[in-house]
Formats: sequence, C-alpha cells, structure tokens
Amino acid sequence: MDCWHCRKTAVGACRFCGRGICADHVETLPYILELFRTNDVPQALVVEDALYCGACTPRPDPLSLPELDEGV
Amino acid sequence: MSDPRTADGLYAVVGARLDAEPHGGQGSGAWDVLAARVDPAEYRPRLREDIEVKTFRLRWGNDYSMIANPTDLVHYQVRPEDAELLPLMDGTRTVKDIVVGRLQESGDLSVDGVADLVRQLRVGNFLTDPFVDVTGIVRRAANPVSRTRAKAREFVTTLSVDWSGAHRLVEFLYRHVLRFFFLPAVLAVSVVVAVLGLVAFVAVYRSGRFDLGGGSAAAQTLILLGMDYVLTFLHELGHAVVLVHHGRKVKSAGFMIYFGSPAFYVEASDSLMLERGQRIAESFAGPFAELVVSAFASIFIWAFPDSPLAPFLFTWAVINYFVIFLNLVPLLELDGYFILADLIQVPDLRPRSLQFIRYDLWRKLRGRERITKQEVGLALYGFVGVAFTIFCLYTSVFFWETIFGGLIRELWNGGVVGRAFLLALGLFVAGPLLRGGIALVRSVVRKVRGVIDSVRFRLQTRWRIEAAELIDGSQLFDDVPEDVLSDLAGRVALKRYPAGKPVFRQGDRPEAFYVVRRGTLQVVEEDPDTGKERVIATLARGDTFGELGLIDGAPRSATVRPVDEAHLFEVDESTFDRLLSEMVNVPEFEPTLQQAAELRSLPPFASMGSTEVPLLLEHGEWLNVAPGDVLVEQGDAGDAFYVIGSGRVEVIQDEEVIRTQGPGSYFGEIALLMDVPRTATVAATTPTRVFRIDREGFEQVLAGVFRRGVLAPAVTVGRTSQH
Repeated sequence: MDCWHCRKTAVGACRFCGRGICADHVETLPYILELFRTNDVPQALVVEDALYCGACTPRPDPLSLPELDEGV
Repeated sequence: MSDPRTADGLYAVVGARLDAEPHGGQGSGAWDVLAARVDPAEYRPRLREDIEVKTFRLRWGNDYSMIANPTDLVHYQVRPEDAELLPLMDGTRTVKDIVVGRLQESGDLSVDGVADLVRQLRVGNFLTDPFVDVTGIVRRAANPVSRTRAKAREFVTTLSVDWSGAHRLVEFLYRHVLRFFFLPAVLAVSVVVAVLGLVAFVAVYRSGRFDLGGGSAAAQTLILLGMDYVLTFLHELGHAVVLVHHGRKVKSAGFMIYFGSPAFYVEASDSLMLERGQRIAESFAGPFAELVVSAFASIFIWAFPDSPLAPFLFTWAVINYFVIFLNLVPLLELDGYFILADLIQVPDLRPRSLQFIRYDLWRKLRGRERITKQEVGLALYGFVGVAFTIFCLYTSVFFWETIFGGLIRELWNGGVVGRAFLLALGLFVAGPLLRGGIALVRSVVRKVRGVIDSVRFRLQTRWRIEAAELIDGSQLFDDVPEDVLSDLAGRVALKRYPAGKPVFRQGDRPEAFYVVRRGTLQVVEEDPDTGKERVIATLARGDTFGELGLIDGAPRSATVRPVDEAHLFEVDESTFDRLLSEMVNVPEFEPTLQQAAELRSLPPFASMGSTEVPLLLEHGEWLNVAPGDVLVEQGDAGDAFYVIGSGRVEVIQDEEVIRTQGPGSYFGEIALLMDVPRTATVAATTPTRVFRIDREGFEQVLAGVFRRGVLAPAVTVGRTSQH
C-alpha cells in the first residue's frame, strides 16, 4: 500500500478511514476502542495515539441519529 | 430492543436498521440519513436565544459586527453582512438555504463564508446544539492534571494566573460602594479632585523642594512598590466597574508579569459589546482612578510640605503620573491608544499602520504610486509609534534606575542576605526578559533551521511531487498531460509569506501564478477612490490564484494577503507562458481559463474560489440568446438559475413588463429552492449572453464547496484585556 499523500510505501493505515500513510505523513489522534458505563458514568478504553492520515475528518462531536430508532 | 446507551446496544440498533428494508423510497435508508447528517450544507443551525449581536457603523466604512455568547463570554467579530445572516439561523433553514437567501438579498454567492461562520458559531457554542469536543475530552482524561499543577503550568507558560471569579467581587463592590461614583455629583467632585491634584503636583514640582532621591531606604522602596500595586489594582478595578455599570461581565482577572513588572489585569473582552462612548469611558476609567488617588497624595504634599511623609509621597506621585502619562499616550497599545482608536473609529489602527509601513509603503514609494490621506496618517502613526516605543524603553530604564537605584545599591552592600535577596528579585523581574531572550534565540534558531530546511527542501523532490499533485488536482489543470505537468512541477518555487505580507497587490503587474500549499489567504479588493477594502474570497490548501492576470496581461485586480503564514508554490510568468503555449495543442484548456475569468466577472460568482468556478463550469453552460427569445415562461416548472453576462432581458408578469434586468443580475433562483411554477416570463430584448446552471448543478456546486474541508477562519476577536 502507498501513502495517500506522497505515494511512498505506507508504513501503516489510518485507524479512521484506512488510507495508507508513510512515516513522513503520519499523525496521531485518540481513538475510542470501547465505550461502557460504570455507575452511570461513561467510560472509554482509548488508544491515545492511533494512526491518523490527516486527510479524513473524524468529527470531534457526536452526531444525533434519531432516525436509526425508527422501525426497530 | 437492547439498551442503546451501551456500545453493544448502539451497534445492535445500527445493525438492525441497516438490515431493515428501506422504507419511504429514496433518501430514507440508514446511509442516506447518515450522509445527510454529516453534510454541512444540510445542517440547520439554530442560534441560542441569549446570543447578542451588535453592528458598529464607523466613519470610514470599516463597519463590523460583534456576536457575544454571554454564558461563556466568547466574542466573535464578523462582517456586518455575515451578522445579517444570524436571524436566518432559526433551526428551520439549512446552511444551503441561508446561502441562497444571501444570494437573493445581496447577489453574493459566498458559500464558504457562510459555512465557515456556521462552523465557528458551532464551536463557540453560539448554537443550540452543544459542541462536545470528544477528542479534547479524551486527551484531557488521558492526561489528568491537578488544578494546582494546571495553575502552576499556566503561570510558567503564560506568566499569568487567571481568576475567573472576578466578576462576583467587582459586582459586590459596585453594588455596595462603587456605584456612587457614577452619580453626576460624585463624578464631578472626582474630576475636580483629579484636576486640583494635578495642579498641586505641578506647584510642588516647580517649587524644587523635593527630588526623586535615588537613595531611598530599601524598606521605603518596598513599601512604594506595594503601594504601586494597590494603585494598579484600583486602575483595573476602574475598568471593571465601568463594565459592570453597563451590564457587561468581567470574564476574569488576574496577576501577570508584564514587561518584567508584576501587574494586575482584567479580561475585558465583554467591552467589545459596549457602544463607542461607553468603551472610551471604560478605557479612561483606569487612568482616571489613578488620577484621583494620586491627587490626594499631591494635595497632601502641597498642604503639608514639611511632613515626614511628603518626600515619600512625592516619589509615589511622580511614579503614578509617569504611569498615567504612559497609559494615556496613544502611541503605546495602552488605554490612550484604545481611546484614540475609538475616537477616530479605526479599531485596528496600530496593526494596520505597522503592516502598512512594513510592507505596503515601500512598494508604493518604489512604484511611485499615489498615497491616500488615510495612508499618510497610517504611516505617520506607525513611525511616531515606533520612535516613541524606543524612547519609552530608554526613559523607563533611566526613570526606574533613579527610583530604585538606591534599593539595588543598598541590597548589594547589605551582605550575603541582601545580595541573595537582590538575586531573587532580579530573577523575578528579569525572568521575563530572560524568557524573551530565550524566545529570541529560539526564533533565530528556527529561522536558521528554516533556511537549512529550505536548502534541503530544494535538494529533495518531495515537495515538487506535492506541487505536482496539487496542480494535477486543480480543476484548472486537469487536462494537462503528465509530461507537461512534470515539467511545470520541476520549475515551481516554494515561497513562504508571513501573515499580512501581500503576495501581490491590486494594480501590480502579474508576474506569477500560485498554488496554496499551506495556510489561508484572503483576496481583498480595494476601492481606489475610498481605499475601502472588501474580502472577496478566501483561499486554502489546493487553491490556485494569479492565473487570470497572466492570461490577459491586465494588472492584478485584487490584493492577496495571507491570514497566517502561507506556503505557496509559485510558477513564474515565463514558465506559465511556456506551459500555455504548449497547451495550445491541448484543446479546451485555454477556453476553460477564459470561461473561468468570464464567470468570475459576474457579481454572484465574484467571490468564488478556483475550486468552485470549475464546478460551476462543469455543471452550467453559456447561452447566446437572440432578442425576443424567451428564457423562462410563466407557469412552467422551474429548473434552472440564470446570470446575465451581457445584454438585457425583460421580466413579464401576466403580460405586463414589471422590470428589465442587465449584466450581472440574475433570475430563476427560486426554482432551485422550491417546487413552484415560474412566476414570470423572462425574454431577451437585446442579443444576450447568459450563464445557465440547472438545479442539480447548483446543488452539486454548493455541496462541493461545503465538503471541501477545513475552511479559513473568518472571525477574529479584538482587544481582550486591559493592563
């Protein structure tokens, strides 16, 4: 796989979108591995420095999708 | 159904929804819902009810609007035309609707500006949807820092400690005591006292009875320092209490090391919402509080010159009047400057003047261009300001040495303890200077590194590949054969421009074509008669500019200026010409550029960037219409939007001509918003050239712009604190 930015051989893949990234273009972002609740407080298992390509745009804020409840 | 609050529950819901048969036809599937939800163009912003908006009309036409979030005390400065969009953000309209609404109101199709404004409002919590920064929350949770440690870290990095509870204290003081100072009678007495104090001080000074006495005892000097801090506190309280009097809030207050001296400050960004007169009063209140307090000392010295306290109070009064003078001189960025800026209605006087003498003046002088009256004023202010700053630094050193020289000498001669104390005091006061020195060294190292990097960069091919990719990705160059593209990329230069330094100015001879590699730039059109500037486009990574001037050879029609440091790929004129001459063999390339230029000459598309124009060309077409030809028939289904390039049309409603329209005007936009039949017939009365864009194309252009990625910040917050 090649780097999305420079076409050099990729050393990893973006955790969020799967694009290839070389060592020069690699960035990191926290990634939530698992969400759960303890005593009604949200808790998260997190990878602090998951690979990020810098090209995709993981939204920093949650998205409301009430439509998903319909018909289920 | 499982509990949707758990991860399993959520995935179960999504899975079940995805497995379920779509119902309701097109656009109701889970992916369609998701696509619509992440599309910024489909977002329905709703402004919070408590958001305040104020527009300030200034004498020079440099009007601006302020938007305040009173809960978080966040303030944005925006253009008045952007502020006019805010009432439309009521939760019923999509961002796309608002863009088209603006088009109908002003004829400006400034899509990226609207999208950016909405984005900034969202992040600043101006909208009813609370913005939750999950990434930030996770980062903070992963690296927890105690409150004390956070404060200590804040002090080390910013040399200030912030206290967010200051408003309650100021409000308490205002309610119980300070509000009486706003009674006309009390205010008048205060003014009389301040004037009498000044007169008494001049009389005492002219008597020659006292001098500054560099040999003050150490203890006395320390008391003097303590009293000086009390006075600074009262100065800040003066600012804060005017804010509270006018119903505004003090965001925070605190303690900081300012130019080597410990000082108090008030975060008064809420004053940006005050009216001009109130802002001037707020700026003056600090020095006025000092004037009144100093007046009591001066009157005391004048009345009791033989008192043992008199020499000490004289020194204190001298320090106070010197500080008041510095505060009120409008050449330093202190209270006097803000008063002047508000009086002459040029809120960005200092940065504008410095920017003008740094970049624009020399070019204008070299080019023997006409310098307007306003520019003469800016240059004068800039030069005198710089000279006065240097003068102040010199006199300050002399002044403080006279006042505190005695203390330093006494401590130095006071044995080990005295010298240790002096060293500690020196570190405390000189610490910031040391930090400044370190920062300067770092900056020099960074610059040297930058030069080395630049040399190294030239030796590498990486950025040339990047340039080739960007040029290849540009709609203007999508037809360029690979060998030509490779040739072009091999000849580009990488240029860095600091914020504010123009890449080129309106009226300049075109010499190059540019591709934005990094940073944000504004395309600014300047009215040659009034000097009034208008931002017509914002450019970001991947955008191209400057090609039109090279094609038609005309002087630059606008100034391009970086908002932050910009890295640009520059293609010089000869390389561009060589590329173009080679491109003659490639059909459609040249016409595309010409069409882009023609399209940009239409007011609704004037502010469109180089990404949007090709999209419009792809989804629209130029039509030549003969006199009498009907473009739109009343009662027909609406399906397109038209902009007139040349010629005239008449709008006929129920067989009656209701108006005629000429070049630059447009019609048919309603059809893009609502499924209603045409409300009038439009027919050409002269040979007419119109640009027609259909509904699908229009939607795609808007969506394309919205999805372009990170947009440039179009908002800034001005003055935020008082010192």
